[in-house]
Amino acid sequence: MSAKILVIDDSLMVRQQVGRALTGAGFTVLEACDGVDALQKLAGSTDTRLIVCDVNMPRMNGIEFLERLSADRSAVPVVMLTTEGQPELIQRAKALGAKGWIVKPFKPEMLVAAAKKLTVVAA
Amino acid sequence: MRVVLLNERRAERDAMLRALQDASCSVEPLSDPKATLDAVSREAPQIIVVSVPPTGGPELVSRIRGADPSGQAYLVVVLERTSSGHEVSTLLAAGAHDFLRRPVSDFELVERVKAPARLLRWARSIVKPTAFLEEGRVVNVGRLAVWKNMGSIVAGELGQLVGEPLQASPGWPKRFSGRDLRGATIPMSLASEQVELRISILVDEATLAWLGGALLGDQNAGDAAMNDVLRELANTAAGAVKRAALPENVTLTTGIPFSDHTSRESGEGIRCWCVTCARTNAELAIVGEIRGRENQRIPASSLREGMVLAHDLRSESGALLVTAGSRLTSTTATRLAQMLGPRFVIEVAYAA
Repeated sequence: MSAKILVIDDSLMVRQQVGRALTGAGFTVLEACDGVDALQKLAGSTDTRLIVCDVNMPRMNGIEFLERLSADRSAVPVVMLTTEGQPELIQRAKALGAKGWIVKPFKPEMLVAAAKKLTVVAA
Repeated sequence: MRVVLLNERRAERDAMLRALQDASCSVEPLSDPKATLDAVSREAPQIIVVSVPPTGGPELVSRIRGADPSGQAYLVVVLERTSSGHEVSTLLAAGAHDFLRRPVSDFELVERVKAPARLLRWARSIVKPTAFLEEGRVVNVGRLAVWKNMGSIVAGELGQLVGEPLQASPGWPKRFSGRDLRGATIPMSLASEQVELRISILVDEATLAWLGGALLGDQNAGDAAMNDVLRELANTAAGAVKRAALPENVTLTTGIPFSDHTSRESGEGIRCWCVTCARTNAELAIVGEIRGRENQRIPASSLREGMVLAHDLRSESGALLVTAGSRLTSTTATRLAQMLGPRFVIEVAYAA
């Protein structure tokens, strides 16, 4: 069975682009439009193997989402996919347990490589 | 200042008590968490200093925050010398405002306890829009390389997104004159200068169809999908500008992009670039704006999602001092509500 990846981004276009890249590499993709939506989707899906998460989103942004995962002691690895690049923000995400930081616009092969590596490690 | 002090180590507690009393604080020293929760609930202290246990620190912090009837107490936690950055961040996320490491210095303790008063003085000192906050450095935004080169910075980044090389030249696209345009704008804030930068991307129908084909695989995608594409282009442009600003020691904070078809070819603080794809003849207008922004005091009930705000500041009149710092999400609003207490009403309207 293919590994399930949760993609969190408020842009439908980005979710589609990420979804195309990951499904093309054999992954199953679940989508959420912000951190609040993602927490609900995670609660209903116990077999999520990786999370790809934007930073700037309404309702609950990517850093706030990481804080919630950290407080809940979630073991699902998270890769941030964002236009942001400030070192302080990257350090903050790392401290909260993020396993990777990819700057948009992204190269699909880079995202797929990260997904393969992290889903193998997490398996 | 009324201080509640929880520390199970008697010698350390006594030393901290003396230091705080010497600084004219009224201190209630306690040795167990339950008595501390009772004291916080009963006394509504201005400051709470808590020595956190090796395990369960975040839970204790959350319970103390929950016991505070005003929700306005400033909470300082005392940690071991070897506590990790992750432990610190978890305690801050749980509701602590500041921390001290052991061995506790009397001088540092007193200064940490005085921090809220310092913050309030600082907030009041920045009422003038010309005030500057970053180590006395004044930034003239119009002279920054990132502002002068915004067209090429954005063109390079958008080119990567659409998979075509794009070229920027100064000026408004001639063919856009008299045409209906679609677009999106993203606000960015430079906290130290009370300045807002805005980046807008405007396109005509022909370019929009090309973008739909390149990014959605559908030249005739519906309005919602096309607006989403334009907002994401604006978001991408803002990301490129923010990263390009870092070498100039300028940190910009981004708001939420919004649909905007207002044509702005010229005006004070406005620069335009025409971005062209040579292969397809598509053209985009990139508009940069510098908008001076005085501090605004707004009612908490007028907060709207996407606003950029300084969430650690509060005035005494039930209004937030909105300057810059982080973008408002409903999660941030919930934290603000906890911090500010029942005197404030916070409502957040979601962007469509």
